[in-house]
Amino acid sequence: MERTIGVVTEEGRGVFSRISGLMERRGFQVRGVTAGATQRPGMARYTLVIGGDERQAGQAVRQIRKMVETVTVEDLSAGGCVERCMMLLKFAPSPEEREALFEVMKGYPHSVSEDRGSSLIFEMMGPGVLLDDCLENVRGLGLVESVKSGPLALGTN
Amino acid sequence: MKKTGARMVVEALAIEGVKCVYGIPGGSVIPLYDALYDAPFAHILMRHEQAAAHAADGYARASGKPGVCICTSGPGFTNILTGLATAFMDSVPLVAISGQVATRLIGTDAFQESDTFGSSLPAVKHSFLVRSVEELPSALKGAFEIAVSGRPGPVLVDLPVDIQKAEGEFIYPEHTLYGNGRLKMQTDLSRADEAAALLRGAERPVILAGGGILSSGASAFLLRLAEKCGIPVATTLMGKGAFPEDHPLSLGMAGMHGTPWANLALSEADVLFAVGTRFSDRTTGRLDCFAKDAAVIHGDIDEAEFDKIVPCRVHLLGDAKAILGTVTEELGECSRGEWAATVERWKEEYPLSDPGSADFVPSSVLESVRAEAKDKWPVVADVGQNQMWTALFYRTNEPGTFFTSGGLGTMGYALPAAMGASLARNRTPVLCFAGDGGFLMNCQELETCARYGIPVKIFVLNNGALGMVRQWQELFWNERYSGTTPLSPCRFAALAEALGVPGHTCTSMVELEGLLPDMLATPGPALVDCRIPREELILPMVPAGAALKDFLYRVKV
Repeated sequence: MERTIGVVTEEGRGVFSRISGLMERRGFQVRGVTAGATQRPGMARYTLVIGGDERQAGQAVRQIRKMVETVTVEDLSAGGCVERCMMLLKFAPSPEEREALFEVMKGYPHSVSEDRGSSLIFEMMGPGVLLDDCLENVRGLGLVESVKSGPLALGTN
Repeated sequence: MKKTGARMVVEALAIEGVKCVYGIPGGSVIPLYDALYDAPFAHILMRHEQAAAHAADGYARASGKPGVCICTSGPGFTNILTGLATAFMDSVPLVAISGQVATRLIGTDAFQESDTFGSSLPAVKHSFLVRSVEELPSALKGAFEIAVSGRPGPVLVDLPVDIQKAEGEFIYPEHTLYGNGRLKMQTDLSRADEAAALLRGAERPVILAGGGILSSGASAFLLRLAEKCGIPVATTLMGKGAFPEDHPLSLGMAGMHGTPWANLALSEADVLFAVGTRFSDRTTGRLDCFAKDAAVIHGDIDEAEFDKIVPCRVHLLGDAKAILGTVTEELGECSRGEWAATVERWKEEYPLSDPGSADFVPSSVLESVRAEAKDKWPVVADVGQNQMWTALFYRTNEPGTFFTSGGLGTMGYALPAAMGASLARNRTPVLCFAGDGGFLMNCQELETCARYGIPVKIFVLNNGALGMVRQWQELFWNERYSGTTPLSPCRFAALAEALGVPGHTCTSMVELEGLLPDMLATPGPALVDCRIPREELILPMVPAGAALKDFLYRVKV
């Protein structure tokens, strides 16, 4: 079970260290994390995906809320949220693999970021599970390397 | 007018009303020490940075104001870290100012450089690394505000040496920009009526009072609630003193070495009102048996403690005074004769003193010191058997007169903390109880005590062993005394004399009782090496992982 937690903090020294250190030493399993800017100058937004149920998410939220820099923190899974990850996939397919690859990719939202014929890179954005599903289906089609980001999420409420 | 960063620190401390600071100079704090030279408050030169932090901790616990300690970069800071972690676990407000290498050298592995900011994070409430002299006034104000707000704790200000020398405008803010939200001072007592209803309907209610009662100054509120409704009160180790232990409703301390009646009452309770406590494992024993039939009401200033260990029926978020006051208002008077009689029966069934044991035992030492000392004198216990003997046998009736390292269990805490406590209370005598093991971990502070003539009366309960571990080895590890005994006989009286403190040795109650009146009445520090039997155990004891009701009461015939 996973829960997504959204944290808005003031930008400051060591905020990321504080959050990651806090999660680590309190024994929360952090499965994904992103950090980025918000529409408000001086405010940063962190999105964490942690393993656990509602109770554990509540504990994590209350621990993070104690940080001096925390402005808001919420368990986004509780009220519903839009959650997106990014993924880049690099292939060096044989001609046969290349055809099969494009066939598989039709099933997923994507664009081709770079195509040099012998190698190409796809970029994708979508829910984490969808990207994981895609990755499973393109193994064996000349996959060289892939990278998936942590999530960005905003509550729907 | 422009000031150097170092002068700004001194001015800020003066504005904050600091009476004394504890520290040791070093290469990265020479400018700061130059400014301290004519500061309007005292600087106490300690002999180890860890002790400086403990002294500031004792000062804070005894005064209710933030204690301040100062150290240099690198090893100065790593030494102080144990003291910060100790204060953090016990929610004690400290402001630690550490020197740092010059900003241009940070990150270059410079001499006496350590990642102070990074390594402090898990051990403090907040850390500042000051990167410019302009940031300094607000960082200092922020440190003092954060240290005392909400749940108190230590705050570190890491101050590079070049910023101590740099000049800037000094305008000390009255408040930082931190609102109540950032200072984490929310209150939610909306369910106080539910709490009151639970207590009203309870047949076997118990209050568990933690250290939060003491840091809030809520003892009078606790007493009123307990008396109004006839609710027995157990305390945690940190809560000792929150409720007068000679009061008929007092159950004393609960937990691993708690009184049998406190542990039985917690096990049998139908409603438990826990205030200002975080349910330490040493307090709860086996968790699934802890207050297992009780509806738990948890009042605390830190919402992160709710449901962390013990799932609760009702949460009350706020200061302990507000929590207790509000619940008391909602309650009518009531009494519970049957429950009180049950508690009385337990008290008779399991008396604490051990009449069968030898003459010169810790319980007798503690009781006779208590008879000779004043109720208002603070008592500081170190860590181990001595701590639990003190907690059990030195009954505390005044709030803020018992201090110990509860959460981190830092051996070596007692002597420096006792010094800080004495200085916080205008050099009132402070009693320091320590074992021979823990005492040697900060015994260098005897010299500091002597130099400033601080009236700490030290009782080394010397059993020539690391007694608490020895006790576990005796009871649970087939008497394999690995690393705990025998220790070579240390002559603590001679050690004390060598460092300028009058030292005595006692091997019997008669000797001790002959010595006490003079020792306690004479100004300045003194030490007594009490040669207690090695075999003496601290009982009762709830074995690790056992339920509170399954305490060992006697193990020898």
